[in-house]
Amino acid sequence: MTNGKESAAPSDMDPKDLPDVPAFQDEFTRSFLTSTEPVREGYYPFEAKTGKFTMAFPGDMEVIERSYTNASARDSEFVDITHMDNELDLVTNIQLKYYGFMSSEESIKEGMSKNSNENLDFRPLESQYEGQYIEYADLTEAHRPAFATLIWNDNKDNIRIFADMSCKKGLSSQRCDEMVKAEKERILKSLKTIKLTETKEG
Amino acid sequence: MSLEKITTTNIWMRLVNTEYDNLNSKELELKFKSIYLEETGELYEGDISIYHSSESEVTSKLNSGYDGTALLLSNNNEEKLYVINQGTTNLADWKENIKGPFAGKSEKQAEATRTFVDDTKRNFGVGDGVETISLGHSLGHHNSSMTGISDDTFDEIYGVNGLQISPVEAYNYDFNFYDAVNVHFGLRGKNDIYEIPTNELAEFTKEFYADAPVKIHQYISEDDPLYAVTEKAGFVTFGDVTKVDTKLETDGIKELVDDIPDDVIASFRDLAIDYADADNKGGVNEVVYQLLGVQMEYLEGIEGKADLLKWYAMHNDEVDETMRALKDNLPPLADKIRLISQNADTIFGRLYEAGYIDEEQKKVMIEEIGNLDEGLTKILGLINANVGVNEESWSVALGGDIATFLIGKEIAGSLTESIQNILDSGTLDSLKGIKDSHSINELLNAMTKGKKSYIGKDLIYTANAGGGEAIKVNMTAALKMYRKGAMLLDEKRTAIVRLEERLNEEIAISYREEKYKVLDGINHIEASPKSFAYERGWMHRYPLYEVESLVVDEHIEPLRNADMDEEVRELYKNVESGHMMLEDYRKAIEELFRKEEEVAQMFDLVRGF
Repeated sequence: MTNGKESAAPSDMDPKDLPDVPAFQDEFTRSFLTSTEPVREGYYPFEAKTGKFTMAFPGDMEVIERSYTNASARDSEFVDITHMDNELDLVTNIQLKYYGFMSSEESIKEGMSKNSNENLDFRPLESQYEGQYIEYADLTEAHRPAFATLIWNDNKDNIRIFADMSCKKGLSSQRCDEMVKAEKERILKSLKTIKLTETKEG
Repeated sequence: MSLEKITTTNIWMRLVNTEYDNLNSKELELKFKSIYLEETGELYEGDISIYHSSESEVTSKLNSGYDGTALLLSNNNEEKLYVINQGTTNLADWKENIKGPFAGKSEKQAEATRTFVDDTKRNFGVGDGVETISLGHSLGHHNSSMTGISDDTFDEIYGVNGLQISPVEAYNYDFNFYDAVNVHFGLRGKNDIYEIPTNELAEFTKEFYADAPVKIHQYISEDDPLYAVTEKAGFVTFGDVTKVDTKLETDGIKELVDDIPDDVIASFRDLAIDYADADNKGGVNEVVYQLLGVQMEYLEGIEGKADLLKWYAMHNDEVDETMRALKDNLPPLADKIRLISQNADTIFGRLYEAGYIDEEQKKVMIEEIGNLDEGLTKILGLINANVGVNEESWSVALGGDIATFLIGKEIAGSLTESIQNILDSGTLDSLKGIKDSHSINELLNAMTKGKKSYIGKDLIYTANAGGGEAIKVNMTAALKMYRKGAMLLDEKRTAIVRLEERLNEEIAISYREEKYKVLDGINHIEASPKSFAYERGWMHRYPLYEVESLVVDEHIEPLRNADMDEEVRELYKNVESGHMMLEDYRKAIEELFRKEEEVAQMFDLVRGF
C-alpha cells in the first residue's frame, strides 16, 4: 500500500504532503483532484464528480463549495472556480456548467447571449479532442473584462463557461489591462484541456 | 372565437391541474375541449397539436425526468404555443441541492424547460417568433419564471401558487444579473455573495428585473405555506400578483410564520418544497420516498426480527438501496427535525393560537417531535457505525446482521410509534388545511363566485331549487356521460342498421341461391333421364324397362319465418329509450339551472367533439 505517493488519491493524503497551493489546501477542491503530479506546471488533473469531464485545474484557484451542485442522474454538474483571496491584484471567477442535454449548440449560444445581454460573437478554437468542439466569445457590454466559452460534442454533452476578472482598486488601468490579457490566456489554456469523457467514437 | 380565452383563470388553472394526470395526447385534447366548453359554453373550433416532453428526444435524455406538455393552438390567423410546465419528477435529485439555495437543481430544471420549448418549436415547425405562454403551478411556475426573466423563452407566464425566485439562484443562472450584482455590491470573488444581507439582495433583484419584457401573472393563496416560508426566506415575487384569501376563517399563514426563527423557516422551506412536489405525485409513501429515499413498500411486511433477517437474506438489493438512501438522506432530515424540535414550543404554540390545532395536539406534537429527533439521531449513529457504502460498486457492506436488525428495529419501533402517535392525535388532519392551500383547487374555488365550484378536477354547479337543500351537479361528469352515452347509442344504432341490412341481404339471397340450386338439379334430371336412371341403378333392377322421360313434380315453399322485423324494431326501441333516458337526465339538469342558457348549449355542443 505504500509504494509511492503518486498512487494515493490526494484526498487520502496527509495535508502536509500535498503541494502548497490553494487547490490542494482546500479540502473540497482537493476532492476533485486525482493526483498531486502536475499535468503541466501549476495545473493538476481534475475529474468532475459526475465523471463526465476532466481538465487541468489551475492550482492557485479553488472550487466554491456552497454553490457547487451535481445531479445523481449525472446529467448536470456546476462548478464555480475562483481565487478565494480578495486581496489579489486580479481575482478571476470561472462559472462552469456541465449539462448532459441540449436542443442544439445554436440554441445554447443564443441562451448565453441572452444571459449576457449582448449578441455574443462565438469563434471556433482548435479542439485537442476529436468529436469535441470549442468556441469562444468576448463580452463587450459587461462591467468587467469577461468572456464566454462553449464546449460540446455530438453526444449533446456540453459545458458552458462564463469567466470574469476584476482588478484590485487602485491598480493602474494599464497594469490591469496587461494582467487581464495574461490571465485570459492562462484560463483559456486551462479550458482547452477540458475533455468530455463520453464523446462518441469516430 | 379567439385564443384569449385560454388564459382566463379557470381555463388555464384547470389545464395545469389536468397535466398532473399524465394523460396521453388524445385524452388531453378531449380534456382540453371539455374544459373549454364547460368554462365558456362554446366549442373550441381551432386546431390543436400536442407534444409531450417524453416524445422529445433531447428532453427525455434528462435522467431526472423533466415533465412538460406543449399545446400549439391555432384559430383563424392566430397561433400560440402554450407550455404546461410540471417541472421535475425526480425526487432524490431535488433534495441533493437543499444544502444550498437549491440553486443547481432549479437551474437544471429551468434549462430543461428552455430546451423543451426549443425542441417543441422545431417539432411543430413553428418559428422562433411564435407567441409562447407558460402555464404552471408550484415548481413548474418557478422554472418558467427563471428562464422568463433572464432570456426570452416565454412572452407571458401564468402561475398559480408558484415557488418564487431566490436571488442567489438568479445570480448563478443569469450572467447579466451576476455582473450587475457584483458592481452594485462591489463584489470580486463569487463566494462573497453569501455575505450580502438577504433583504438587500432581494430588493436589488426586484429592481433589476423590473424591466424584463416577459409578462408574469401570478395567483397566490395567502394561506399557501410555500409562499409564506419562501417570502420570509428572501425569495422575490415577480409580475402582477393577485393574492386570494382562500381560507377566511384563519389568519393568513404568513403572520404565523413571522414569529418563527429564520433558520427554522429555511428548514420548513426545504421540507415544504419537497412536500409540495411529492404530494402532487401522490400519497404518504411518495412523501417518505421524497424525504428519505426509502421505498415504504419494502418495509411493509416487516414486523419482527425474523422478517427483518428474511428481508436481509432474500432481498439484498432492497436492503442495499434502503440503507444507502438512509445514509444519504437521513442526516439533512435529522438536522431539520432537530431544528423544529428545538423550536417546537414556538411553532406549535403559534399553530395552536392561530386555531389550526387544539391544545392536546400541541402537547402530542411537541413530545413526539422530540422523540423523532431522538430516534433519528440513534439510527444515524447506527448507520454511520455499521454501513459502509462502497462508491465504486454501489454496494452496501453491513457490519453484520445485528446492525440491520438494530436499524430496522429502530425504524419499526420508536419511529413508527412516534409517527403513529402523531397520526392518532389528528394533528396532520388539522394541518391538512394548510397544505390544501397550496393546491390549485382551493384557489380556483375561492376565486369562483356563484353557482360554480370545483371538486377534484371537475366543475360543479350548485342549484338552490325551491329554497330546500342545495343540489350539486358534477357538470364535467354529466357532460362526459351525455357525450359518451350519445356516442354509444349512435354506435349501437349504426350496428342495428347494419344488422338489418345483413338480414335482408343474407337470408333472401341465400334462399334464392338454394332455390336455384334445386331448380338446376331438376333441369338436369329432366334433360337427361337415362343417365339419371343409370346413376340411380334402376337399369340393373329393371332390365326390361327403358326410361324415356322424367318429370319432377316440384313444389318449393316460399321463404317463411325469416321476417326479423319485430326483433329489429325491439332493438331500435332499446336505443330510443336510451336516448330518452339521456335526454331526461339532461332535461333534469337544465331544469335545475333554468336561468343559465349555456347549460343547454353545453349539452348540444359536447356531442360535437
